[in-house]
Amino acid sequence: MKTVHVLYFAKLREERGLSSEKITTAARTALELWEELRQKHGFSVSSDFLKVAINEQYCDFTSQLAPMDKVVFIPPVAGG
Amino acid sequence: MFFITSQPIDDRLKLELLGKPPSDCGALVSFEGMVRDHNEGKAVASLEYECYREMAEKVGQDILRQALKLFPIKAAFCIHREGHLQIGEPAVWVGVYAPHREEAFRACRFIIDEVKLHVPIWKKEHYVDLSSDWVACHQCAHSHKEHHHHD
Repeated sequence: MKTVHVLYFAKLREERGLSSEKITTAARTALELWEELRQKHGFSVSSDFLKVAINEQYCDFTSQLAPMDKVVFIPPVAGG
Repeated sequence: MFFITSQPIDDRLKLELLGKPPSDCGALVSFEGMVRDHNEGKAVASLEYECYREMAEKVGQDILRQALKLFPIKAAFCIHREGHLQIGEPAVWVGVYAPHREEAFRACRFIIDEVKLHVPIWKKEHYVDLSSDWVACHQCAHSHKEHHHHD
């Protein structure tokens, strides 16, 4: 088990009702963590429509998580 | 330089950033995007921008660095707003100095396109009928993991 810091933005922040939380998880990858969170909180978005960033860098859903990583699941962006 | 601000993007801010034109530059091209009163057939009353600021500024800086590598330009700047904006308010501004206009236009276009695709910024449209929705670039939403270009 490890503890990671998850931040939520936009639609996911509204669905979770929180901007951030610490999560202790057995998930090894970003995808496993997303599936765990999705089951727990019923997010409406599938990972097909998300990107993921670990410690402020875009990365693959297959990326391994390390203790204290800052993980952000990123809904489609819409700047400009 | 790329940064996110919760203050209005006004002339003072732009001029401060642009400074004195480099003496070897003959062109300054800028782009400004502002809040429009309609989108996809719905009447928009206002827009709310939300940013993952630390990452947005890193990704934005990377885009400017890339533009400086790809095009023979001398300087590039971008400012993006966060917070609640009214119709007509500037949401994003890009400025590029280059020796010649052609590169300045191309680099400016490259920067705004990349910013829209990659910088972690979201917008919620508040409609005149009091409903609201998070906007997703349609092409991005359908093929979010593929790199692509579009208008």
